[in-house]
Amino acid sequence: MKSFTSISIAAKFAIVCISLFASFTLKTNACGPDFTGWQFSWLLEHYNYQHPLFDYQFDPSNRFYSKSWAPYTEEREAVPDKIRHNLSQWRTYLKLPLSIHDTVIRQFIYHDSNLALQKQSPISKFIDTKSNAEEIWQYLLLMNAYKNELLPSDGIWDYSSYTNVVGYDTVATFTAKCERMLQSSKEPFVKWRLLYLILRATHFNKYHDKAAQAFETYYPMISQDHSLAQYWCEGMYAGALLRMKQYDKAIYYSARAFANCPDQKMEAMNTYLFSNRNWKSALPLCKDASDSVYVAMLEGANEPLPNMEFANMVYQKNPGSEILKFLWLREAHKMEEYWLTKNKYETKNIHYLDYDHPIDMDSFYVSAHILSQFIELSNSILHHNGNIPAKVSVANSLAYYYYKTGDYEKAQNLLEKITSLPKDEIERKQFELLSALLHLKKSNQLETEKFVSLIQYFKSIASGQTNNHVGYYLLYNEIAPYYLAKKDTLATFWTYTYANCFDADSFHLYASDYSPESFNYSNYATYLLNQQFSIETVQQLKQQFLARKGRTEFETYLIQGTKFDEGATLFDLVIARKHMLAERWDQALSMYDALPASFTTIMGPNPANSSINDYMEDAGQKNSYTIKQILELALKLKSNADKVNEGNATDKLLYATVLYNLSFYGKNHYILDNHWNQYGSNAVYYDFDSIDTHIYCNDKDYYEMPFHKSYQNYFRLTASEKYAKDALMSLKTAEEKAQATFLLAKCWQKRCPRKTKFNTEYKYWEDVSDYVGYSLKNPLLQKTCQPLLRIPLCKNGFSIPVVITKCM
Amino acid sequence: MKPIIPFTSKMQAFYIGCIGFITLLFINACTPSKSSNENQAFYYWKTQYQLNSFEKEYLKKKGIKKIYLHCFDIAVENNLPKPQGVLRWKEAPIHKIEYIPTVFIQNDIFKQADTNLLNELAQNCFSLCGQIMGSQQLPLQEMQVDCDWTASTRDSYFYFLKCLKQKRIIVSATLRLYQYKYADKSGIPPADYVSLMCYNMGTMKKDHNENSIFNKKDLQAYLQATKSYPLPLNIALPIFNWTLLYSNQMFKGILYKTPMVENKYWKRISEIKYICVQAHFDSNCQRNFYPNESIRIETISKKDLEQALHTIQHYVKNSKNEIIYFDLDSSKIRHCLY
Repeated sequence: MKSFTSISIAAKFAIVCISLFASFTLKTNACGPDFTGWQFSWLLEHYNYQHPLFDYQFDPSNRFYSKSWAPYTEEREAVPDKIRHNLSQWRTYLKLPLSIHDTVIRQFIYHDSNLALQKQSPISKFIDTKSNAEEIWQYLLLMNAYKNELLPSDGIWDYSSYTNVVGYDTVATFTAKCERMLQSSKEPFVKWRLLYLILRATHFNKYHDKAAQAFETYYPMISQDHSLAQYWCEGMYAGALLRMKQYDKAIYYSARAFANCPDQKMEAMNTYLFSNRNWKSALPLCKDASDSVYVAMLEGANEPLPNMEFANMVYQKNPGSEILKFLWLREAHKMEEYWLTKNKYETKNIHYLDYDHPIDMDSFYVSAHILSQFIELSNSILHHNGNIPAKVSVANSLAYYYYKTGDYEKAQNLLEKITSLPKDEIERKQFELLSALLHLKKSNQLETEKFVSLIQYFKSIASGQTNNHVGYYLLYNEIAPYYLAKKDTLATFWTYTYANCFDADSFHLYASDYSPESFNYSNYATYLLNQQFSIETVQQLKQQFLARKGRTEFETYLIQGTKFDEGATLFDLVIARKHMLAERWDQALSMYDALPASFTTIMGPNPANSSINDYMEDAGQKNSYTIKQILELALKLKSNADKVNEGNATDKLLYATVLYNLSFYGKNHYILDNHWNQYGSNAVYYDFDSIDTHIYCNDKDYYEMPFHKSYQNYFRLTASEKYAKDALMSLKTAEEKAQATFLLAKCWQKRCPRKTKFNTEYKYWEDVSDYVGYSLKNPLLQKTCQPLLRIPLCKNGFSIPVVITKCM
Repeated sequence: MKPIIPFTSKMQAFYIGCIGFITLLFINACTPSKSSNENQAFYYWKTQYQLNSFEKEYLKKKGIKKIYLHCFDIAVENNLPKPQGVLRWKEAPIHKIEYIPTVFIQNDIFKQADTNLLNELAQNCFSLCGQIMGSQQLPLQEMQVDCDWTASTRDSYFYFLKCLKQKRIIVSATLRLYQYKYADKSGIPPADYVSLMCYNMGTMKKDHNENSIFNKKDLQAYLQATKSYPLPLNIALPIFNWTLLYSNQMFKGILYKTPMVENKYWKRISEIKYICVQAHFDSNCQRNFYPNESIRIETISKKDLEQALHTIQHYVKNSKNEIIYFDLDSSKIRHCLY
């Protein structure tokens, strides 16, 4: 469905507006907005399964700046990677030269389904040079038999491929052949793969006990070569044990599979998650530290609450393990969430952990000594004699914690300790970032060159990846507040504008969402823009944008990085809207040709339509008014309405109606805001929830917008009321008087304040604003209704009863 | 995209009350009354065909003569269309009932399809339906295609339907409410008739407290002020329920099994919405739930259905004189129709 205002235009415009709003409001408050909840990037965001875009990210091979923003798509991305591991094992075993590409091996192993084809492959001669060539060919024969006899056919449009069921006789015949060969085979490479064929044939056909039995029989007989196939077998055994509800062993073997099968991590983790998750019960089965570490990791990777137990245990067992870094960073991230969620507006609790009774996170971090354990473990790691993998990340992250909590000295000391330690690129950039931030805090000087370098680095990280957002964070939370503190409004404006353009993709991730409400911030921004900025200031910004030059080098850099497809016309739109809000219709009209086409091409209904039902019209005939026609109509009606002449009451009523319809509540409100939704109805405005989004920008706990006169004035209701009242005094006919009264009632209705009450049954704050109940008490509505309910239909089709039912 | 029209219960009460009152005073006399004598049919949407005794008894008692049998979905895999959830017969069909093979096709299929692929897809689709029906000695005389086509896929989808029609069978297509309301923009599918799906009218992707399967106000908004649809039409009504899962207020997916919520792990915050307050494993769903997750258990009541029918009868000409309930399941029948 085509929207009246293109989403991208609206978003771009919103970027300008929100930047303007942010810079000005914050100038007055002299403090930056806090990052709240999950909406913004965090420095330590990684391994966070609670992120809305993915379930969990547990792979310890992922490094500090992991791609945790990308949804975990096992099927799409990991499959080729999975195959790669097996191809590599074949390459090594057969000593294949690099001239034989992976695709050849892949064809040989996965696609050729008979020996005749395989013998034509260049790989065959490498098999034939092996002393156990016959054995390998025999194995391949069985592998092909498995594909042909125990797997559905490849004919996806062949119904039989979905209905054939492999009976036990077929399975047993196949596994018997495998067992015979396994018993006679000499090579572990082949033996493990034969066992794997047996386990697949039995387990996948739901003969789990047979699978377990085969594993227990043959596993001790094959020498452990730590090959992929060995751990495939262990993972498959874990799956069979899970089905047999033998959870302790299932957890143990799934931990081993997770640790050692790069291609089976997802399956191994799922086996664990489907078990009873009593991870400690598997510890006695562990034969070495590595096993214990991975058993702890399985649960540690899924623990939502702060808990240092896992990282502590891993540190004790194997401080050199990458798992330590992984688990420690998870806890660091929880800390980050805790500290960033805390701010002056909110309690110290993280409410989503218990909706009605927020968990007192202070208890967790302080009373339960999590915080002290966290710092203690960090110090232990930092003072460890060896150069353990976690050390630099621990120092960086702890420094970050001190930085966030205002202890800049401690943060600086930590960074100094790791200055000479080797770092990978991620750790190095993180180190540089923290150093620059600490310098800014301590000396109150913005090292613009360093920040430009950092911003460019974070910008170079592919969009959608976690720390691509850190650039946004820097601009929004560090650099803009720095300018605000210096009361440099214009630099702040460009910082915010650049920040929003910098992060436009991710910003849209949230902004576009699924609902029109997502764009409400643009209304709020438009409101503030028009309230706070003079036309001269907006023009000045426009000139800077056109020249792409600021007063400082850094400001110029910011402006140059600011991209608007519509260019300066967005500023013209702001100016034109400012004229409209001031009812300077002629000046708005004079700017008409300079406005973005996306604005001028909007069509809408007649704004002077007296049937104010708050619904958008369907596309088509009724949307016959161009913006220009609407402006011309408003100009004409205002001109007539303002004349001192008793004969202009109808024009006053019509002009009042125009103003109502240009308001947020009316049919033509897109003229003054960007909130023209694409769904064909603005009935959402009936609901206080959606009105709230105009009262509260982004987060209702933090950005309370005053529900006062100026708010109403922005939406033109006070002006509308003024003309309607004037009209009512002079109107002659009952129908027109009813229309004016009804219009006044509608304006009155919109002043309904929001009320909340604690619902004791469900224990939450319920909105009891009773918008409709309030409307019924509206004396003007009653005045309209009572006499007119007796008149079923007025002359021109203005039916009060119908309007009541449709509008209220 | 579906419209999002939040509507509080108080508003609803007022609205309904007001309508009732005004209707009594002014409108009722002008409203033509219609009888509810449509033939009933069902969608069967499970992947294994097997009816329990209650379902068989209900079909027999109500004289149901037609089942739209979901045979498979077609989804994109490795850039190629692939059937998924292919129906398996666990018992023989009822010979007094006509089975219409129904195929759901992901809209994505049509995004980059050329005519060769579409021809082949139609042939494969037709063939697989024929095999599924043939395996039970059922003829293939008609097919229904379910696809949420959009402006960008319309041409390809319509071409696909034309290819199917060349097989000399009756071809019907499902029609979403917005495709009905905005027929000019959505286009009219080249089908013999359409089944208007009077459900899924809210957005399931937004975390709110409303029922996205059905609400009367939205239905009215879709159905009113539209000129009559140019194809024969029957009506599909929901008797299904589902549980929607959200994480941090973001839609995560549909849970076809409802977790056990009457326990300490869940907090009920509205009639249909629950918030997980403690991480746990739910054996019904065979998955973990976490405290940042919430669920909305959506269902439709008999009263809702009656309301829906009344509204539809008022606005839409059910020219096929048929109502298809989605979907055939004893628990849903007990809940919504019994």
